[in-house]
Amino acid sequence: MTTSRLHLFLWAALCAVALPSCSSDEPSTPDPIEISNGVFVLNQGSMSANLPGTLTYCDYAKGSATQSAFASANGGNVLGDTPQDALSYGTKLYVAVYQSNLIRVIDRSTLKILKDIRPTAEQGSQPRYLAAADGKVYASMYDGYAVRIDTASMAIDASVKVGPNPDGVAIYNGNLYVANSDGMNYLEGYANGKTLSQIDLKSFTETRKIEVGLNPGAVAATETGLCFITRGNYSDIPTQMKRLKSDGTAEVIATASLICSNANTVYFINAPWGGDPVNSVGKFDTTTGQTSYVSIEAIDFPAAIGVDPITGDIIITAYNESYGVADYSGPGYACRFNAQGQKVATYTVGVNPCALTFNTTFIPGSGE
Amino acid sequence: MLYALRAAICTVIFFVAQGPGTASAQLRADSIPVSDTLRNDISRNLQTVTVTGQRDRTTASTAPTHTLSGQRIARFGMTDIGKAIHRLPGVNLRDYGGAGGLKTVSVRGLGAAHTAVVYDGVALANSRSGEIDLARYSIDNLGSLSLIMGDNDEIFTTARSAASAATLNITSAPNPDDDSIRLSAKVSAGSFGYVSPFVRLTKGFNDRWAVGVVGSVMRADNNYPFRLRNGSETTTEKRNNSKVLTTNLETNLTYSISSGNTISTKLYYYDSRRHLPGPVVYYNDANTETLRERNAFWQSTWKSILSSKISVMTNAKFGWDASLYSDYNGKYPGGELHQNYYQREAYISGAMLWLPAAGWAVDYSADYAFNNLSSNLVTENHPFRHTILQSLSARWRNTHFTVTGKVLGSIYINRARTGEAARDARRLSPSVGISYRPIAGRNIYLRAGYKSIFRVPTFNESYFFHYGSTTLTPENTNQVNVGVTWQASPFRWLQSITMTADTYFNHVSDKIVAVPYNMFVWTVVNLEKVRGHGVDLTMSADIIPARRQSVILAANYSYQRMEPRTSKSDYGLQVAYIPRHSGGASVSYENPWVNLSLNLTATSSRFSTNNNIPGTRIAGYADTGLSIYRPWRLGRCRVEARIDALNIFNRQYEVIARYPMPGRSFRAGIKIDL
Repeated sequence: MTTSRLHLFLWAALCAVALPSCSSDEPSTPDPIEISNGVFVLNQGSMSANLPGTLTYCDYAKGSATQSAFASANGGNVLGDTPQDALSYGTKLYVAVYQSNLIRVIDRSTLKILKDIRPTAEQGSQPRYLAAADGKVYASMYDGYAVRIDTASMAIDASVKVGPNPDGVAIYNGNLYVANSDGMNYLEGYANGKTLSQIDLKSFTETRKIEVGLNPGAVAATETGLCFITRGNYSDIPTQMKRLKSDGTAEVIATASLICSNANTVYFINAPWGGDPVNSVGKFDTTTGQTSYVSIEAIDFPAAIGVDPITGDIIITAYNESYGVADYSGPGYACRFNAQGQKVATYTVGVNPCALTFNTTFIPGSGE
Repeated sequence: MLYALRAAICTVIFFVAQGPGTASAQLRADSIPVSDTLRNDISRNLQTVTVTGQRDRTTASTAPTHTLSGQRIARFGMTDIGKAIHRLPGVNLRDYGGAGGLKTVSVRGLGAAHTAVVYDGVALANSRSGEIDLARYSIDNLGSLSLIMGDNDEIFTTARSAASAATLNITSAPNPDDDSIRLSAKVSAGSFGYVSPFVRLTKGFNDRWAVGVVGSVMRADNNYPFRLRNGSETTTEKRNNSKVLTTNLETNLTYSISSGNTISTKLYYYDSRRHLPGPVVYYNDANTETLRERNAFWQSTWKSILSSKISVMTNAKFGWDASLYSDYNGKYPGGELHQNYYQREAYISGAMLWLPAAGWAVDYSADYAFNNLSSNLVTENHPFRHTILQSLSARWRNTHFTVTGKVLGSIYINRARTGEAARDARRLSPSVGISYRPIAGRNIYLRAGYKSIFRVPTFNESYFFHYGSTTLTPENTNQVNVGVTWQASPFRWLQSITMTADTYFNHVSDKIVAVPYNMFVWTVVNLEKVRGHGVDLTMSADIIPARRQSVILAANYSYQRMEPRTSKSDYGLQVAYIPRHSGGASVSYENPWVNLSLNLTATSSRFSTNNNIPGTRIAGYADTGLSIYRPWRLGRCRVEARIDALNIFNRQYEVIARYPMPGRSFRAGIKIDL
């Protein structure tokens, strides 16, 4: 669905709602509507190549991308070294910068830095992934903690110990789920990386660990379901997408390596090294439990996937190719497909485009 | 005066080599087909000829051979071995900053694993990483430093010396030839907590034996300030977690069994404890890595002139190396990471030099080496390797020409206690060289040479978990060098001037490079091709401006163009960390009042990646150092006090991306020689 058609639909819906009130004597203020302007692509950079992380902004209306958007807005200051995840929430953009050990709070409209949250040693260090709900932003810390950040004070107000090397996070059904990957234990085959930690949001304590499979990574949730990727051991145990059943066990849905969620659907693609290029995006409906596929133009080395919450467009970031493999020290690109899988735009992004988050804003509704 | 002395010595040499009754009045030292061993023996006893002999080797050799003697290094006030290496052309030194930090050298852009480092005749080995850390070798005990690019006409060597594209020869200060007892003690201290005492004691016995014991300790905090630019802001930070403590102990024993028959033995021990500062990370200066390295070896060399036509030499070595890396960070299982690597080496070499006829020399050398690696890692497969090298060389010389040819036969047998072993390699590698002196009596030479050689994958490249690949094949190099050299003593005030100019072409194929499997797993493949060319210029001069005053000067410049050629999109790029222009100069001025020396090194910009994208450019730099020193005589003692000012213009620069070098710093020292 294109933006203009959506606008039309929203206008029509608004009018339909507002119309009855038009006949009353009191004037009414229509609700503001949320529109999607573009997508932020977080580029991890490469320490060995002397490239710090950057932020690229892909503007839908302009049809082009602005590189180093954070640096441009902050007098050239770099975003940090090896940023891992970015999250749009409220009017702010949160970036978890792993090697710089910071969670940066950025004003989403100006991209100016508002605050740097430096965790203390007791709270955890080396932030990885972000999730948000009810005025709180949650982050996983690679040395074994999950923290809760209050968005009003922009500070960490709670920390809980979780399993070894927590990675992906998602919020589902009043709980924060953290994937315990044991990613630094590669010599023992990630022996202790088999669980998701379930943290109750009210008390912010770990209620249980759920056995899910080897080396869990990304976690994605909708209102009706929770899915996650178990990466295996990069050799004989493959990467799979599973869902958490109501009885607390994990069920395999498909072979996949990257996931994201929107509305009631978890989207997934499968792109392990040496595999074929990705030419379809899987859609798992968490309410019905059905899986369908959308064909897309082939992408050789995808890096991250995201779905626009307003338009339903699928954005996939990817590496360019260097000597037949993914180029980890050169700029990548992002492809924007509509919900039917047609390619709408391609944007140039930075080096190692590892995460993306959408830039939605509210515009005033208009009535009579 | 020097000419007459040289003529006299030449006659003596000729007599000893050929036997009495065949004298000729017009012979010169550099045109006599003397066995190489013999020349070394005689030249050690005649100090003045040594200097001339070395200069002749620089100009006359068939492949570029650049030498810096220990005396010149001391006069130039070089505070560490890296500064001395910068006076050799065509070298790229990787320096991570701070006293005692890792320093590795690559020659003509080929890579550190293609450069052999030889310590007193026997190559140093590191089968794990393939690179030698030059910071381990103390500059206080340096006899000479020389760089040979390719194979030169010095054929009476080990087979191993032909197994690398370039060789850096480090010799330690020799034992005395007389029975006196000599003591040399030095203490220096300087900025950032630098303290380094050094002691050397040597004694000769019965004109046959000599023992030398050397010990030095160095400690430094290395918490130097540096300027960090972040967009429009520049802040002053401090290097953190950089403490270093190193100990060097060495004993050298020489025994002269008879004239022309000597045996020398060395025992060496090195121990360093370092905190690693790591690369500079934006907004975070915490680092918790430590590295403890220990190296011990015994090596012996026996050289013997069996007859006027045959000389033999044997070398043997037993070595042990430990590298213990630790990191303390909550992300590791148990909160700590310990990677302990142990390497062992056993080496034996035999060489025979045969002088069949006038002008001819033939050498056959055979080497055997055993290397193994073990570690505390669960994934360790305990690899080991048998290396069998044989070289056959021939040299023909007359008044105008020197022609050499060499073939190296290499056999590498790789095995592992568990798991798959790397591939074996069997190759023949030729090299040829020619040096032509158009005008007899004038030291102008034209030279040309070709060498084809390879390097086998290191143990890291073959076996490291989630990185190594046992299917790797060796990396090949081919190099061609053409040059001209000139040495003269034209005026009374210009005692000697030497200039060399070489241009080279090289080609690397099957270059081993790491490619990503995914973010977590990398693998290495033989992928790249590189083509390079360049120019190396050197100049050195000895000037006597007035009585009791002396100026020595050394300058070098290199142009290096190394182009990746793996795919069409690479053309026009420059390989990472190779500057197009580099060079420098050193000047030393000795006079009766106060001695001064100045050292300058400069390079142009480089890129930290092969793809040369704008963000990866590292600015060029110039580093200037100044030393002031003065000796005094107190009875039999010689005392010298010196002050060194490093990086006097306080330039902020880095050699390797994210590793800033120290700004202006000072050192002061006192040395006593008895």
